Amino acid sequence: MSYLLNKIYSGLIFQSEGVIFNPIVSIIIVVIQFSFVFSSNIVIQVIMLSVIVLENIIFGNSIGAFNIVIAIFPLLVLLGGMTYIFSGFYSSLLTITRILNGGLSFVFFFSKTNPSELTRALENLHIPSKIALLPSLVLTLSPRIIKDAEETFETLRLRETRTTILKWLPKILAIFIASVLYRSEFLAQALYFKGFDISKRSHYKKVEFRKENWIRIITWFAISIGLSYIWITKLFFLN
Amino acid sequence: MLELENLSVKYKTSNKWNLKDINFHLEKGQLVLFAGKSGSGKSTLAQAILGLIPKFVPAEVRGKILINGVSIEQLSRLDLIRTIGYIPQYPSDFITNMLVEEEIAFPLENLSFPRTVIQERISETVKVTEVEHLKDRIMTELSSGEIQRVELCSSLVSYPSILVLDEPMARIDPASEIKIAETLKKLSEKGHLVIVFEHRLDYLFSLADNIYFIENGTIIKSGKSNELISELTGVDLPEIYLLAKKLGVKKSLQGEDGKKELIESILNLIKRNHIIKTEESKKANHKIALNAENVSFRYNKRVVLKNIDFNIYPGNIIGLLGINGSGKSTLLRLISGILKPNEGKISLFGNKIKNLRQTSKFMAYVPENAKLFLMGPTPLDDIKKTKADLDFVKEELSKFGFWELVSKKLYHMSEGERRILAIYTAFLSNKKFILLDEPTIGLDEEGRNLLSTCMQRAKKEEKVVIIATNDQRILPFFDNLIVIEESNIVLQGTPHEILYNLEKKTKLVPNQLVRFILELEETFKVELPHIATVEEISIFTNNREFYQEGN
Repeated sequence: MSYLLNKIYSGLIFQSEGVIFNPIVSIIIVVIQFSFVFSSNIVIQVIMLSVIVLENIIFGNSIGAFNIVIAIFPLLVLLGGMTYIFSGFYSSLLTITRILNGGLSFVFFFSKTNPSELTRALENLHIPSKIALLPSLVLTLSPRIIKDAEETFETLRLRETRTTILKWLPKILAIFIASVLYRSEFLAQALYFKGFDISKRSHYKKVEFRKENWIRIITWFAISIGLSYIWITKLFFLN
Repeated sequence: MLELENLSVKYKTSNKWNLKDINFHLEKGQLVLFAGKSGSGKSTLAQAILGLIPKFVPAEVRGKILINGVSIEQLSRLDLIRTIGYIPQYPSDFITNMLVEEEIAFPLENLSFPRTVIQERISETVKVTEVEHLKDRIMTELSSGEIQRVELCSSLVSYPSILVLDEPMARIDPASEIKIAETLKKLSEKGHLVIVFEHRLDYLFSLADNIYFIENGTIIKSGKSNELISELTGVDLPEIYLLAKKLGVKKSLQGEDGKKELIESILNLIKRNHIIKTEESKKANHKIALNAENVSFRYNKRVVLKNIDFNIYPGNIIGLLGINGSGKSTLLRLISGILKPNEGKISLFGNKIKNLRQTSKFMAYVPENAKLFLMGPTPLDDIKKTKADLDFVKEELSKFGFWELVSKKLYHMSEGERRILAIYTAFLSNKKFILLDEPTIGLDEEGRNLLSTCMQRAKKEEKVVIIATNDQRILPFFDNLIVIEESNIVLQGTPHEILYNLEKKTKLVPNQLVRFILELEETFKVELPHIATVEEISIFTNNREFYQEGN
């Protein structure tokens, strides 16, 4: 369990080195990706998966992607296996590719989007700071809370040699919830003391729009047109 | 500038006053130290001054807090945060951004400072606090000492006239401790009012303009450092003052006369050719308990440890030393089996560590975040699980004043209280290896004494104790020290060997006493005995047989 949590943490943590994408571009692409995740066309899912895997490799997030695949592997086996038993091979494959697409696109978003830039970008769109900071705080705090859960689990494992799921799960959950509450309480104090929401925030850096953003957005628009064509043709063909 | 009139605070969960009738008046340009042992009310006072009590912590507050003559309740939030900068006891709880630079810029962005001003102030403050090299790092991947310095930087960037720091020295290595103490002094000289709540007083004590001593929520003494030196108890006073006190040196150690008198006293007591008899390392008759062979570990692409080799024998008490972020905690986690080395292997009694399941039979690991160790609901529940003799536990804990804590709910305990009981529970377990990460953070003298008692017992039981620490006061308790620097082990040896070579061979600095002895040797061209703790003087005085003649 702690191994899987460690993999989730490594997958979700922001990678400050290498290419960082404009947050608005990242959000638009995640929305595009998730709209196609709902398609039940295996061709669409496989094309999406190939492109998402490719962009993780090209933009230097192959380790993060690999980590998250390992982390969700038990889920893939469980859900893939169950759908195979109840609905056959095609549904099973569809389920697996959908989960992989969702997981990998999220990982790319988490690891290649600077949370503070996301806040600034949303504020530039005249979204109130209180709302604009929320996604950033989620991006900042999620890996830390996962880390808390991981450390709790590791410590517990080292304390009790024979643990069963029924024994450790309530303890982990209790400490995990306490950790979330504790972090939230101090976060509120930190925001209070760092002057958040006192006045209109200034930005010490411009949200950059590098050429990689153009490449990504154009690629994904082209792909989405192609995928939509496949989706619509298939629907038309079925009707 | 800051005035408190009869301030009393009672938490909603408490049935007694946690602070009672606190009065003082502080002016700008001062470095003021509030000292007191763990649980004396230092953090409560800090939070009350900042208005965090009762705003965030439900409590009954009586009396007045005035900042520049205005009651804190009447101050707007903007005025409050422009006036006061705050670094809490656990700075990692105050992280609001992912990147260091963003974290530093955040308060200024919130206060609508122009972009150019923010950039100027960042480059200026990162230099003062020496975090320039961390600017592009991710906050969660910094060591706690580094986070401490970044949060100090983040507070200073808005040029507050009052700076409040709650236990700033708890997590940092002595080199950083000296730097931070000097930085705080310089800030006070520039006109800031710097208020520090601390029980580790090695370097701050002599720099402070005023010291207030808190006990049971009341200020019982106040004055200058030289007036209070003989009156303070339960706090970590500077070792050189303690040494002077022990040897009966009355003159100030700042001057040459005092230093000369001290040298004479030492030399009268101990001859140079008396050397400290250290226990032979247990090697010959024991098989290796833990062996690390060519161990390397990378975090993402950053090399944390490289080609680490060492052997540890049963009954060894080992200290891991290194500047903040050097990889001490990572090494502990590798030994515990939580992390796996990228290269090399770690073996326990000849068997390579494969996973946590295997190590859990042998190891108790108390992480720096000690609140994760005890499962509760009270520490007594955890103690009972170790199947230790409760009468023995009661007797031992009562001796150090911790027995009444064991029935307290975990979430009503201070971090220091929870930490010492987590450590004690780890020692009670029947595990052969006890791994502790920064165990003395938040511990006062009594806590450290209990730790030392546990270490001695573990040694007799042939347990291996490995401690990652920056607290040089506990170093003499170890059999061997391993110093990690730039991903490698740069020094290994007994505490005395290491401490007297630390500054020459590493970026670390030894404890204040060792530095002082070295300074005296160099200034007065004398040879002094290489003692590492003030307690060793007592051993010389009381038990001369402990020493043997050198060559």
